[in-house]
Amino acid sequence: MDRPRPTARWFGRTSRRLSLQYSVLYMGLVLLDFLFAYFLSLSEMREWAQEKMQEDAARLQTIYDQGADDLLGETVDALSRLDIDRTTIYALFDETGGPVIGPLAAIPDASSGTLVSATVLGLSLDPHEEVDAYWVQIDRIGPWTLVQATSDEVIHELLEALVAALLLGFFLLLGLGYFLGNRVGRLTEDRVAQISDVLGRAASGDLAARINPRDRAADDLGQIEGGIDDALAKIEALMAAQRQVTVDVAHDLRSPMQRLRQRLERLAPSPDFDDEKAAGLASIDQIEHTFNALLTIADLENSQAAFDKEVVPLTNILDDLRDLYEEAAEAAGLGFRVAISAPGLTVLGNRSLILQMLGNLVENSIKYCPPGAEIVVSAQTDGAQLVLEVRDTGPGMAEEFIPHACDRFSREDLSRHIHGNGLGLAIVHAIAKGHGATVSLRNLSQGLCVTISGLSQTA
Amino acid sequence: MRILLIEDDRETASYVVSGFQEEGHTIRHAQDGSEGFLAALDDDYDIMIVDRMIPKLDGLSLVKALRDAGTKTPVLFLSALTSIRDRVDGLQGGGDDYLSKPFAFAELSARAQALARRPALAIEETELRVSDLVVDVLSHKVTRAGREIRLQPREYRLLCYLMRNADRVVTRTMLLESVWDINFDPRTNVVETQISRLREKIDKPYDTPLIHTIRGSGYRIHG
Repeated sequence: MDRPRPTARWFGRTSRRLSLQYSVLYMGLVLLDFLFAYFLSLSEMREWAQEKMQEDAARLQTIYDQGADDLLGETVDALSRLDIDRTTIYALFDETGGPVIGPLAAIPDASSGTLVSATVLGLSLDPHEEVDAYWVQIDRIGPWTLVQATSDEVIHELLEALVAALLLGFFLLLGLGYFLGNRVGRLTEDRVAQISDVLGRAASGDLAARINPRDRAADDLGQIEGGIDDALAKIEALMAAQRQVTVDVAHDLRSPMQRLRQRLERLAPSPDFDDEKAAGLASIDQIEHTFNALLTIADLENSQAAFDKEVVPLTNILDDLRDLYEEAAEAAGLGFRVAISAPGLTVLGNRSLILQMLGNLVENSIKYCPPGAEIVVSAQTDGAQLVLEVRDTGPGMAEEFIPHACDRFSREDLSRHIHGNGLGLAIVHAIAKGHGATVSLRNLSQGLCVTISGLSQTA
Repeated sequence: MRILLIEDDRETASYVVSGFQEEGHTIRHAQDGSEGFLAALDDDYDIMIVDRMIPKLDGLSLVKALRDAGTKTPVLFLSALTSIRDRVDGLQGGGDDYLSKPFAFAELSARAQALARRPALAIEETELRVSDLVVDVLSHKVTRAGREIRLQPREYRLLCYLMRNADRVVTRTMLLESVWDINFDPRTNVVETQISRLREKIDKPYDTPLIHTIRGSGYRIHG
């Protein structure tokens, strides 16, 4: 039997879920890593800007110390003009704080080494410029005050580069993680699917199914596969042994029964013993009937796939059922009716066994219903499945007996004054089970309803 | 009828042998598989009755070997193995019928005769005839003494089966298997009812009854 690959929800596939989970985990880690890089770079940049501004201040201090007062002004002016983008600002103020050189109107109210916004510096910036803050360095050079400011534009660019790298990394990681994870996962998943397939086949009676792992010792899955194969081999051997026991018992009981029958049959006709002989033969028939019923149940339960199944028109089966039982029902004073919800219904199964299953139920109804009652056999669909029902208007069944009704040799009528071997419903149950269906019994306000549900309509 | 019985149980074998001898048939008994195999190749029989479980060469292998050797003699398996699979194995393995132990001699005899005289490779007959009763298999027309008789489908199948086995006893089980196509006993008198309906139409309006009840065995149609 070929079991379809389990069609779990998209996310239900282990390989997909795991690879995505790992991708997200890695992405989180990469994000942390990038944040760390960002703050580290930020602090490095700040130190670098600060050092550069301090070096410039020291250089200008040297120029001033050499007495070149004009040269100081010229140098600052030149430096200030060099800066077109206003990434670095140089400004010189006199001792009264008045602006001498540079774009600033006043000495900013900030201390060296801090980051201040452009508005604090009194700068009106082009909105397209990616600058919003400056690191400030204020130094006294003689009577002058030198104000330097380095923009955070570099930081923005760094951030941009980092974000670009981060996004690229994200997508690469996601794609690669998904692809690789899925591939690796699929390898495992295929093996898991095979394990589940073999277990499914074993559950449906194919005990010869094996996984046959390439290398049992290779990994944990290999060990599980090997373990399952060993267990199945053991179960198969046990089942074979049990079957042999059944065969032996059958043979050992059937042969003496055969001899008993032939001895009775060969007794010479005699008016004194003819009745005894007939009764003896009838007893053997009864034993044989019980024996066959037990073996049929055991047979159906042991090897569900042993009988042929075909798609049979339901009308065919129900017509035969009517043919077999209508007369007997009428003779018992009972009404017998067959109802099909839709014409053209079919059932996948063994015609003779399904007929036997329904027949046993009808036979029970005939046995327990008082004259005047009615038996109705009906068939309807439930989605793709077929539901068969046998209901009667008889006395019903004791509620506490219903759960045990399908057990072997269980009889509601403990006095056993109604003829039967207590195997009829057990056979119904075994046949239903062999067809993948279930049997349920329920009392109606008047009568009993037995439902066989879960039969397939087509192959 | 020439019969070969391959059966290891002495008591069953003597019961079968004396039963068939009393009916006037010739029967040879082999105790085990290898003796049976040689006996089957040695002589021509109308039917072989083979136990599934016999010493040396089991019944199924024996029949397979005989079929491989080209023997076409019909085989009836006797067996204490009754599962559906055993039956299917038996019938697929070259058997023509399968009878579970314990069996009544009447059942064995009826089945053996039905098998033995079955023309194994015969062409399908187009007309069945017993005395003045005629069934045209192609048009499904039934006539007796030239008068047409209308039958229900089940009655028609029952009549055809009886006529194909004319002069032989057919048992209730054989009828359930062949006419009703079921492998269980419905324990109703459905067979008796159908037979009596058939008698109403086939026999009652005429002087000579054709369908006869054989007490303790079954039914037989003969002129």
